[in-house]
Amino acid sequence: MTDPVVEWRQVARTYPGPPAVHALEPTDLTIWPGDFAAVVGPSGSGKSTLLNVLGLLNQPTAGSYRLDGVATEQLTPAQRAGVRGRRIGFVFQSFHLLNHRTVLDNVALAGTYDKTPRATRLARAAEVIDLVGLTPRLGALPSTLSGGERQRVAIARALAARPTVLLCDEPTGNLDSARSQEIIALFETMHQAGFTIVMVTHDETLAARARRRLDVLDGVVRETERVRP
Amino acid sequence: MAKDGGERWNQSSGTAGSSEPVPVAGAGRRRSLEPAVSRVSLRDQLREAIASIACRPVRSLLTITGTVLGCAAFVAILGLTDTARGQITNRFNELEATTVTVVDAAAQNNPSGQPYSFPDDVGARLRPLNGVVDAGVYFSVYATRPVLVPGQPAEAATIANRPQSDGLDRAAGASLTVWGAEGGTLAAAGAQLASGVWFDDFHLLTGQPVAVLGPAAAASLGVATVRTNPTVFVGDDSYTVIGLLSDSGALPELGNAVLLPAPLARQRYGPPLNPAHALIRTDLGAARLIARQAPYALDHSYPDNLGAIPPPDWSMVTDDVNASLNGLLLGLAAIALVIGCVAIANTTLVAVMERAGEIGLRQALGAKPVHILAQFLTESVILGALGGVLGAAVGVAAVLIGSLARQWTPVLDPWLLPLAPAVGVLVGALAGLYPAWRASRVPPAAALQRL
Repeated sequence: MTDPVVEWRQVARTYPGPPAVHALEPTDLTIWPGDFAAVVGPSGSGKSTLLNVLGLLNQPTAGSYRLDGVATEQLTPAQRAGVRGRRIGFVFQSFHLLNHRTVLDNVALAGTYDKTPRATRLARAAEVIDLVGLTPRLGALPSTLSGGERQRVAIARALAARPTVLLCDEPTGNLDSARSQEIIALFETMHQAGFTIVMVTHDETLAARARRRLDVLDGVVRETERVRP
Repeated sequence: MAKDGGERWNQSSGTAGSSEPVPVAGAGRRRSLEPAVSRVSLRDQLREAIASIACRPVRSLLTITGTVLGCAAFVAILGLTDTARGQITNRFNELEATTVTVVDAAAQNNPSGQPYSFPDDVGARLRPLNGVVDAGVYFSVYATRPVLVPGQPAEAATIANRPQSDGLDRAAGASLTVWGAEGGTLAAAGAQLASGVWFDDFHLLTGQPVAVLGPAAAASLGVATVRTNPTVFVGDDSYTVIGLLSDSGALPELGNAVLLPAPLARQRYGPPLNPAHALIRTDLGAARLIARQAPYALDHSYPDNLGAIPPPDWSMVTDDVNASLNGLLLGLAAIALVIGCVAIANTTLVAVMERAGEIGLRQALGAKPVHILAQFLTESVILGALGGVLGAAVGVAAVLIGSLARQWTPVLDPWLLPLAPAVGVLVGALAGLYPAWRASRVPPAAALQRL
């Protein structure tokens, strides 16, 4: 049996306030390699906090969190940054591309803080850009791309570091339905290829395509039955 | 694209088709479970900083404007000061090297006796000395205030005997003084004649009653030309004005003087009012030697009666002046640099706020706070260095243009050229420190939400 990618035991996150806000109630959660999980819930329910804690952007205030077998609560800030860079890929709703850098440079940014040689990063970047179908736009600036293309660049950047898990925050939130379908298809392809994906979304269409569904309400996470085998 | 890319994806991961929980994409190169500390190469750090600067050229240029101006002011001030100092020093050196003054020391030590230690032929004795260009004695005498009488000497004499109520402007000469001088005095002092002639040997040796007026004296008496043979009266003695000075050169005290031939002045009005002086103009570099020889040439029996004043040492004076001037001007340059520093700090601080999303992204990609700090600090230092280089170029151009405009020889300390960029780097580092620190303190989750 393969070890889980994410293993939470009573992980909680409270913002001190006053008043203190329990953004994430104590939660047990296991994400297995190859999982495709959709995190669904209304605004302010704690979805982003869940994703930030998963991505080591926020530290849990209680519980234990093992990522890829590493007990993260014992890591120094520098080690947390290192784990983020090497094991987690982020895809954001607003893409977070550097607008003055080319598609290739944006994607090759992944691995910069891993001391991966630039030549290696460029080769990997070209490879993943090809996978998301943007090779013809290799030298283009993000401002010349459509929303769907920008998101694909962001996905390529997340993949370029060869992460253990992909964390996506509303990846279709800024796209029209046609572009959303493209991105959803891309995620399905990635899932079929074995990527582990955890995705926060309002998009029920996208959530329905995920293998697992995690509903979040008032900081409480409940897992629905696996919607698809 | 993606739909038909499944095979390629599978090849990439090598894990497709598994019914078991699917290994992650990175499983093929399953890394150590030990957490890796984030790190970045210096080359990548520099590349990222340069790329960030290059992608905002206008903003970068505006940001470094303050530093450019500060460094340019720094270089220009020091360069122009050095250049001006060179000019001043040249002038001082010229004076230092070519002027010797001999004073009647016996008269100085015994003012009541008022002796006169100079011979009657000061110029004739000094000119044969190797290195002397011109020389002459000068002294003031006690005499009745001079009065101008227009017309011929004969007529003047008649008028002079009239009572005080004759309508002549006697008050005009109230501030004038009467001096005795020699033929070489004028040339030694570098004085210039506006019209007429200076005393020659004939005037001196035969005691001709002639006078030369200093520029202020001529103006005071209303004498504009010697063609009408104007006459001045000193007491009962009439003198025909044969020359008018336009510039009294190194002897400004002669400006309001009525100058008479030295032997005649002494004969008619007694010993000098104050100790007499001789002025010697020498060739360049001969002054100190002439200062030693002159007392012996003038009175070999009693050379101690005459004291040669050695040329003044201007170097200390100029050093003091330069130090004060440099301090003041460098203070101004420092203010300009502080302004440049504040400009970079301000712009970088704004950039930190604007680039919060980028900061969050870099942190999500594994950047530690120190990497963010280094990124912004490096950008700031590069901007400072650019400002320093441009400022040095502008400063050098200013020195060259300023020197050309005044036909000076530009003087620039070569150390200024590397120093200006170094100052720029320092300014950039100081200016970037606080904004970079602020950037490094932005929590990643908060930074990512700001865009």
